[in-house]
Amino acid sequence: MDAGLSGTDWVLLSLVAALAGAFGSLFGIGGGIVLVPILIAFFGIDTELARSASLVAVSVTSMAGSLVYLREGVTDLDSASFLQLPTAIGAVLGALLGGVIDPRAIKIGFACVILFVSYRLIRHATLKPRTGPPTKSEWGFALLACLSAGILSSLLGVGGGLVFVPTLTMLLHRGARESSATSTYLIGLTGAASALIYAKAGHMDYALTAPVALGILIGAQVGARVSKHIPAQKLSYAFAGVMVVNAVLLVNKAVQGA
Amino acid sequence: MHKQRVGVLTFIVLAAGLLAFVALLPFPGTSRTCIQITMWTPIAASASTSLELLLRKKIWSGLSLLAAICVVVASVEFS
Repeated sequence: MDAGLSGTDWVLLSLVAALAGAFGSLFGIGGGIVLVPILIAFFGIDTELARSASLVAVSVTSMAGSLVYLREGVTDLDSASFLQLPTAIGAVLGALLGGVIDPRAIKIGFACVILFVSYRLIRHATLKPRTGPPTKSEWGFALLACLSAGILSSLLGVGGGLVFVPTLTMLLHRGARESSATSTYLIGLTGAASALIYAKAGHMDYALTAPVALGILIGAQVGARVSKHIPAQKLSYAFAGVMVVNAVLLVNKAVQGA
Repeated sequence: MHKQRVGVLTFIVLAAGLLAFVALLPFPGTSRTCIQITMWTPIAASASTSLELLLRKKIWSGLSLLAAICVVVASVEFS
């Protein structure tokens, strides 16, 4: 299960992971959505190993990003605690399913999710946050969304922030920065739970995961700090463009059976 | 204001985990230990948050988070 990394690959992986970590922290989506397709499409790494490396990276992104956000006091730990239970249940279900699903199906599923996220990012950039306390039905939908986020996170090796951020913004009426901060905290336990299950099943290459985790750690710190100063709308469009290219590459890999 | 106070212990646990990861990584043969630390730190941090919430009399959110941790630990142990 060893990815057989050269020294150049180690450095390159760290740099790519740093970029993914910066983007992940900036948007509160954890970096996995950027990292997994790159690891598969550009580095030729197995889907299973890319997924588990990404999940560890997601945990590190969460830890590093949460440090910054906790210090600023923008993380809503109270709401996060309620959302964590359905997310954890979903993560465990996803990890159990992940060992039996065809990697090609996962690649195509991932491409679909990327396209959806790109659409959400563009749309979200033009949405106004809602105000007032959330209703009981909104809380119910939020808990269901978190269950699905957990399953998605485990299956694809992403943080689940792509579901958490819109859930917190649209259903629980949190501000954009508070949503990103709370999502960054939430993805930590989700990523760690799935990664531990994959590691126990032997689907983890520690030599590959280490540079990825280090790169993510550096990138996440930068992302969390610059998120206040970057024009979100323009960045969302650029990010969405890169993700669409990633989706096309992934589908190509899946079709070729690579 | 309560959000900042509740996060103090969580902050300390996360910082300790990250520090351990960064301090051990340069040494050869420590990849596995480093990765294990990064996988268990969020669980320890969540346990700290749960404890802080319970101490602040936020019983339901504290218990909900504790239940999430139990689900994770049980699934890892029995998978």
